[in-house]
Amino acid sequence: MSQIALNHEQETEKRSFDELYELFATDVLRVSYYYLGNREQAEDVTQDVFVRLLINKPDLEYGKEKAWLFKVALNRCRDLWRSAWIKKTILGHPGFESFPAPDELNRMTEDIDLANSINRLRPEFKEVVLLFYYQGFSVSEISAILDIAEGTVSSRLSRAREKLQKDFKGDEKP
Amino acid sequence: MNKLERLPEYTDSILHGLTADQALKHRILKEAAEQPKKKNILLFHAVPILCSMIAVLLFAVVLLNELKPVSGSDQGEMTVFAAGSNQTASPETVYSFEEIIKEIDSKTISRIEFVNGTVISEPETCAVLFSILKDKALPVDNQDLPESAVMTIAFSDGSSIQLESYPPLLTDGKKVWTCQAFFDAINDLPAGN
Repeated sequence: MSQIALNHEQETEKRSFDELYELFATDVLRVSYYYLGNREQAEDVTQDVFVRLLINKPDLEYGKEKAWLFKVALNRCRDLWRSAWIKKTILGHPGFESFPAPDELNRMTEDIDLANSINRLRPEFKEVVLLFYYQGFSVSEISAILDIAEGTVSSRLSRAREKLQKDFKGDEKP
Repeated sequence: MNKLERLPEYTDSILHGLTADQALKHRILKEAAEQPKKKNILLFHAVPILCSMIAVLLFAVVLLNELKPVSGSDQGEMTVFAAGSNQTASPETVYSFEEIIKEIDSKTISRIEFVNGTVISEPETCAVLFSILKDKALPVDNQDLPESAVMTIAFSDGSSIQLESYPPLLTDGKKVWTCQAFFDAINDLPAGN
């Protein structure tokens, strides 16, 4: 089959709910968890996103579904984060709990440090780091997902890297 | 920033146990199935609330109308008596033609205006015109009339009366009257009066 024919077939193909859930639900859940630091809330966000997918039935192009799912998920995370802001400020931000595989318990101190550092970033920095480094979206794709200029995405990524660098250096100190 | 570039790998390691499982999927499917019901419930609540609000608004409008003075004829106050035979509690008091004549008879006319811009502002001329109207107006059979030509008779106390006028006809909204002499007299007036 020629490349053109293959592309045309992909353009007209629509992924089912089951396929989209299998492909992206865990990613949505984990990014939401990074964002909120709370498993129940992350599951609620994932539920909201996929319920909206089922109810609204958006006309998503093949290959663009993931961006739509993350756009909805991050909007929901932001709402929850804002509504819980006072509680967090008074009670303190919840610690980042890990859910490791049983055989990896001993070798993940460094991983948890990184996760904690990301978790401590402000939401606008956390979003770009997770979308760029964890989910592999390009700067232009992130710009579309977050409705911000590409320059803003680049600048936030750069500032987030600086903050994380400082955080890592702080951790390295004896 | 090697650490960041290895974020997917790290995440798989530390969040290995955090996966979107079948239980979550069932929750989603169940929630999605219940959504239309929720919309109906919301609608069910919205309808009586909306009806109550409309009822309160209507009640307020009726109450305000009831409280409005039927007519205000204090010095300097503009009171409009619209044509028509049924007296109601609306802001404009509606009088029959006979009542209008009676009203005019009891007051001093200061000005007569027509919707086309003609204004008669000489009180003596107005008094003569009114006496013609009072004496020579005759009721005629109802006829379909347009609603655009209005004659306003203003009094020295600040109140005024409006009549629909279509030479040689006048109407109080129910009965139609003819008074050719009245309109002839207006036409014969010198310009500028």
